[in-house]
Amino acid sequence: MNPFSARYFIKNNFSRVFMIVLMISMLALIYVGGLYLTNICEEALAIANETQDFVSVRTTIDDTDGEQLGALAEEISSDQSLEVFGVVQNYYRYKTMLGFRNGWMAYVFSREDFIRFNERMKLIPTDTELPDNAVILSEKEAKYLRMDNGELIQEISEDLDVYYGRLPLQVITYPGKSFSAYFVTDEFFTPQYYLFTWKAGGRKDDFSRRIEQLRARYNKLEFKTYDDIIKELKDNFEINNVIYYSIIAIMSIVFAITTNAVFVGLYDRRKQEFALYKGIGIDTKRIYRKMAAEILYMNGMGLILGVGISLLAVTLLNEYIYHKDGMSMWYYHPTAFFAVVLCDLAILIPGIGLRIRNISRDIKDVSFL
Amino acid sequence: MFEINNLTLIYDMDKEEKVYAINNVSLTLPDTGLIGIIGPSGSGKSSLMYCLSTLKKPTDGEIIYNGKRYSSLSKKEMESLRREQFGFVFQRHFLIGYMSVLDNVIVSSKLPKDMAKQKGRELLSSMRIKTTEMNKRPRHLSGGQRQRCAIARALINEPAVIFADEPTASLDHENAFHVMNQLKNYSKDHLVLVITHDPSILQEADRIIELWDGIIRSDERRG
Repeated sequence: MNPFSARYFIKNNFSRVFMIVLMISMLALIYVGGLYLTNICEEALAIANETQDFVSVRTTIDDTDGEQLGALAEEISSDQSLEVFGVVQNYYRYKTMLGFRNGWMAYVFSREDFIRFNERMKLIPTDTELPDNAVILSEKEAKYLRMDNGELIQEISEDLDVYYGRLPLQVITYPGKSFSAYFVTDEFFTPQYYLFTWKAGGRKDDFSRRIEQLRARYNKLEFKTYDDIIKELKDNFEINNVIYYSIIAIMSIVFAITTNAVFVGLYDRRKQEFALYKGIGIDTKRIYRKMAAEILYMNGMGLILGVGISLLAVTLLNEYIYHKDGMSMWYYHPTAFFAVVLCDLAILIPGIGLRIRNISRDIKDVSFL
Repeated sequence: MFEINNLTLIYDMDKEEKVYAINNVSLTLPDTGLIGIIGPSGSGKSSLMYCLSTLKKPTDGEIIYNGKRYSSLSKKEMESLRREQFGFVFQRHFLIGYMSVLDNVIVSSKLPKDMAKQKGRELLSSMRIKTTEMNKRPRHLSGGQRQRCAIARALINEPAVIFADEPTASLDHENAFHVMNQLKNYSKDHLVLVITHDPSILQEADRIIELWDGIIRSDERRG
């Protein structure tokens, strides 16, 4: 190995270098923190994703006596391009990583409507014998509710509000990736929502245009497309990002100061070494490159260790804390990744910049050799 | 090889009382030979070496090395000159603590790695460093051994000029004699400038220049 190389320095100063590597690996805290904070939004998005091909419509306070909703129901039920479901809502809850329980609405279908809905969604096998009253839960939600496939629910709870439907409800689970629930009931209800999508063989673009026409015509109704829900969710969770990036800004400053203090200890003691290099004629730029390469090497090692710590932390958290409630911390999220990049730059830019400044000052006059 | 005309180096230029490290020195140095520059502490010996080796910029006067005027050289050209043409033995060994002795010697080598190692070993052997000691860190060597390693480092690129500032200061008599013999041998084909306040190590020198308060007091050519 070339003794002037960055690798040589790292290999032969490992105990000193390890401190920096360890500090940089603490960026794992930022990463895991990012995964943790973004999880609540991602779980909500995952629920919305499940029915992303559907648009829901409901009446509003402006729609006196439900006139527009009635007219819409009549129009769309005769539209051969649309698959329409008249539904009501029950509520269920799931646990978030931040500790609180989030409430969400679950559509309640008639038995026949759910069979059609399931043909489109392929939630459960189409040959499943559907009972008159059932709750179809994603495995995640079933896990949170501590319920198994085939189990009978005899009474309502805070986590599963059966406003529409009759008890007992039979639990049917499906392998969904979100905390989702659907109800099936044989009880008569007047639809409060219409849920519709394009029929098999139709085109999404045509459907979107149709929705815009309906939205314009029935302006007293509230239309919620997938895009509307996503926008609403992102707006609601914007504050999370503001808090997270404020923490990142503070952490970046802390990381920059602490790592720089260790860099000072590591590099200022090498003043004579750099002066010697200059004295024996090694190009000053090569000296800077060597120093920068050393810092980048340490940074790379710190990031690798940080990735290892993050993977281990996420695995352990999932295994021992989250999985039992159906939750699952993801291993990657762009927000967490971007935050780590920002924090790392806050270490690298002053780390390398200040070292170049100091070395340049220290070796300006090497006649002390 | 070197032509030095009216060289002056003043410290504390901006102060009222200026310190003349070198005062209007003119010299010509040949391509080969062992030249001793002697004088008491503060006589300007090291300052002269720094000016000749481009490590310090003189206040006035001109240095010409093989036809190149220092005043017209860029920083990069000076670095290149030090790297390509000069070798240094400083008052202290300045071996790098985390490198092995052998790696210290070859750190500035221009040769491919294996050849550099081979040559480094030969040089260290010629400096009486045992093979078993070559892979040790400098802290495990005595002061004299370290200084001999520093001399080996100066010779690794076979420079045209060796600047040796008190090269035997930390050596016992026997080792000092051995090192001076090595430098004498090297000076047959190269120029070796030895700066010292100890005239006894310059018995084999081809020329002895004595400095006093930055001025040449005597310039004795031998043999």
